[in-house]
Amino acid sequence: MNKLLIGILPIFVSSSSYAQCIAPVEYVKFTGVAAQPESNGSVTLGTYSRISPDGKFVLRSIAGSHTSKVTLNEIFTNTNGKKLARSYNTRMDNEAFPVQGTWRYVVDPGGDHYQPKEILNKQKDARKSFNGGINGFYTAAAELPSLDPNSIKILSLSGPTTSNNEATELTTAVVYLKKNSSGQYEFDKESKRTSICGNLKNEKMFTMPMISVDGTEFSAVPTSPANGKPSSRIYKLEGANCILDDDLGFITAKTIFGFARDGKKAPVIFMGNSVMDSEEVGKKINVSGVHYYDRDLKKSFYIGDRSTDLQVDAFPGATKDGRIIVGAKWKEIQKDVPVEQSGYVIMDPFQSESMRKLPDHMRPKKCITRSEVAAAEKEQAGIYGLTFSENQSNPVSGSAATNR
Amino acid sequence: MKNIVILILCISSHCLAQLPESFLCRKEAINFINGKSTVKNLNWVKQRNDHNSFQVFRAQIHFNEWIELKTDLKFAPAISFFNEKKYTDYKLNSNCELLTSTSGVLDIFQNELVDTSKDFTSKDLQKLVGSGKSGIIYLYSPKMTYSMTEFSRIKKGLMKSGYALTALMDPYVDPQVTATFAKSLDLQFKGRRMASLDLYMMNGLDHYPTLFFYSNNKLYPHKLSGIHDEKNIKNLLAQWKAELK
Repeated sequence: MNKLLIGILPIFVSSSSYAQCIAPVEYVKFTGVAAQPESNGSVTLGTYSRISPDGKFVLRSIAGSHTSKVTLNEIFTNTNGKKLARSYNTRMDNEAFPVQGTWRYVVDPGGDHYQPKEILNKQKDARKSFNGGINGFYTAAAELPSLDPNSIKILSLSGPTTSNNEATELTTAVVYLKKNSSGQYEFDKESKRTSICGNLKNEKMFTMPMISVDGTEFSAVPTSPANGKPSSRIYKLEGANCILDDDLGFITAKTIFGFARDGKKAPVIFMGNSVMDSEEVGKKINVSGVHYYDRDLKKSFYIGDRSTDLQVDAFPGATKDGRIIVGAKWKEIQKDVPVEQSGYVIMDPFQSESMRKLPDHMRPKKCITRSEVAAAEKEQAGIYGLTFSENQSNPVSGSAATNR
Repeated sequence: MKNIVILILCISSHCLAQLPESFLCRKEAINFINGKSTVKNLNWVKQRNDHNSFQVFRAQIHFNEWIELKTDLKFAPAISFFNEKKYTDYKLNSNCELLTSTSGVLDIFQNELVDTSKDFTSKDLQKLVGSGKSGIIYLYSPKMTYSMTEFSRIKKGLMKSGYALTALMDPYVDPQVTATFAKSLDLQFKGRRMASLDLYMMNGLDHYPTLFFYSNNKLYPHKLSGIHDEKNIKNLLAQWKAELK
């Protein structure tokens, strides 16, 4: 009997310690207009998809012919407990982007800032909160860390503009908001546009810049690096100076920041093409896969699911709790026939096949827990000014919703 | 006289990654590669790290002929040879002996995706690079807006500088979808689909737009991805052109 108990105990302890882990991979299908195929039979994933810190919203461009150019997609749980993704129309133009870190606003390339709640309620009739920030190629923004609850600073970062034939460096500007007597943030002032990275001299020209979620760092590829090897690099922003912090050693697609965990450096994620063995013997496939780069370990990890022929889009995003969400197409077996599905895939990088190969002492953590996800959702609900129904998934703040 | 075309060359400071000093079965893997490849001293390009001690390197042997080497400290290497028609994988066992070899076809060269009789293959690339002219190969995709909205501006600037321009489409997107998107932007351009093994192995499909540069019968070993202003591109191409002389 003792032998039996000894045999069972480790299994019990092991499964108990994982009980609160989220699923390693979760598939969320489009529903409503988002799921309507185009004339060629394919469902549009959209592009430049940006993921909110709680993983509830995705801002995407080129959203297909059934919706506005840019939609705010919501990942919600239906009455049957199933997660789905639906689209809300917006009046924004392609390449719209969020103010990262908080997602207090999403921004039209022309500078109009909208609260997500306003879009959920009024879709194309949403009123902008204010206009500000800079524009140009690859514009991105983030809310800077602040200890003052009465003010907010939004840093925007942008690349060269077409209107200027001179070689231009990366530029930044700061928008200042302050709380009014009603407790709402309103536009206060805006700094001048500043060229940055002058300290890098001949290496100050970049492509594919992306700002970190707290606005203190950016990733980009220098076009004329001194060592002659262009690669994706990460720089700290110290005023107008750019301090090299990491070099991935190769060129990735756009490198997107996640949130830093407990004193660790913020990880970055990117889409890369990998040639890998297919399940079918004698066949290789090119998988567009999400890769996760841990800046403390200085290692990158393929994050995906090789069992469903997963094809992801080029803009994955990370939530505050560490999940990775990406627009994707995958195959689902229905009556023994693989059927293509479209939507989002939610992945726990710490439970990925490649991360699990690490020795225990190197693994950043075992998994993301449900309570970590709930905490991120609760914090974001406060920022959005939304309340959620019982299952913590459906906004009930007068949502004009959906599926239109 | 037929031009001699060099695809990838090792340019002074741009000399590409060397293989790691230690990985399991290093000597056997290199001997095996040298026995199969007609080119010695391959210029290896390091790809991403997948995890821990695992690394991937690629090298071009000739046009339309590539090799990929996967190394690890704990596991025996995998070696793959590629051309448009097929690839062959060789795996070694833990005693560094050849274990298996399997063959297949890369996904983009399967008939349903690209048509090598119509699309832009490595044969076309060889011809283009061998023309002796200086020019740009511009890869675009509706998946990345700027690659299409900025095409006309970039084309105008490059042609003004005397460079030829060849536009190629993302092979993973239905050409009809690309055409519809181009129409919605009021763009009047159409390219062939990218079906070159060489540009594929040089990671030309990772981001759009991606530019490759050729001059003096040589293809520059690095790509340029993303949007740049005209002066920046012009300066960079002048520098690359000088290096290819």
